[in-house]
Amino acid sequence: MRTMIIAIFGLLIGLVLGLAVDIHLPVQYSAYLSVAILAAVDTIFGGIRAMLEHKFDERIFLTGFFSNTLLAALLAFIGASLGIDLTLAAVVAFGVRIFNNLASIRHLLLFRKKIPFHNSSNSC
Amino acid sequence: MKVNTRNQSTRNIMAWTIVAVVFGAMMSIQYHDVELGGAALWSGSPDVASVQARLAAVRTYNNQLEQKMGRITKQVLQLQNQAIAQGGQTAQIERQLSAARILAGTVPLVGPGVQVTISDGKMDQVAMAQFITHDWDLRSVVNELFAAGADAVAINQARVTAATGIFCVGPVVRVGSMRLGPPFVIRAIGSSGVLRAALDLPGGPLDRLRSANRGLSVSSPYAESVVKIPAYQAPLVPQGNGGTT
Repeated sequence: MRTMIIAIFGLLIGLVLGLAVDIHLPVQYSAYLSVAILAAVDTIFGGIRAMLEHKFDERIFLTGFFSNTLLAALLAFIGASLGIDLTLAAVVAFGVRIFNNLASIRHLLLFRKKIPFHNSSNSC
Repeated sequence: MKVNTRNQSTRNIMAWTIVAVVFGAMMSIQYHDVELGGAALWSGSPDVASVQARLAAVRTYNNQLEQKMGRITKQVLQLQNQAIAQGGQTAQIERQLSAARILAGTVPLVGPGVQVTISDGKMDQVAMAQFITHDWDLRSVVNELFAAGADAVAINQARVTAATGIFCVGPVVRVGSMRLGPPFVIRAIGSSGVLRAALDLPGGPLDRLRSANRGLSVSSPYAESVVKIPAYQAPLVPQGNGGTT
């Protein structure tokens, strides 16, 4: 629980940091950042689920977070270079995973026991 | 064992905090851009993004070409200076050629000179035309400078040559092919004392601009030891649309 509170503080710090520091991505990179954010959301929900399942490993979580976001952005970039809208694929894939994880978290919170739901573990 | 679990929990907290900070920063940066309306989202208008990228690419390419041109021009000038220094038959011709180039305005110049700034007066709905800087104002100053023996004159970034027209186009002044807006910084290379005296002449161009009660703010000309004047930045021969040569 304490971890979550500190994490929310971290989130607030990050938000304030991003708003205070006047960084602007060039317009053409904005799509990549949006896909990266989606990947980040996916990883975070995966991490929450893994914590509830007592399978959390911070090394997997951290590496998964950064590699997922970077890979998602890279995939979108390659897609844009080739003229294929791979962002769409990322949005669909991550969307499905996010909802899976959310459902799993809900089950875990409701029944406080592990219910087989999805074959992935840490989801990173 | 206790130490171990404690370690584990701090590591968890560290991981979550790092992730949360990065995630928050990402979100707020994206929010900023979307708020500004500039962000083209994945489903939005990919065309805007691609056109933007293309424009940026073309701009960079143009910049590179311009830099290359500057380098090559510098090399050419160096070689010509060498030729002059070596003397001989070609030296005289080269000297004439470089003088002609200065006249034609095809080379950037650096030297001592003067600088004067003319800014518009405060606009008024009734008598707006009175308070803005007009083409003849600039022309009179430029003519005075040339008459006083200036080697080269520039208004803002536009080199004024024999083939340069100065005329009004709506609210801006066109100098050659460039449209300029106030404040107009007129720079001239030449004997700075003479140029300054010519501009400061009682009844001279600056005096007339100041005394016309038009609210123009005209700085007093000041001599500078290093005045940089760019080369003419457009084809010297007017390009018509008709395609006749």
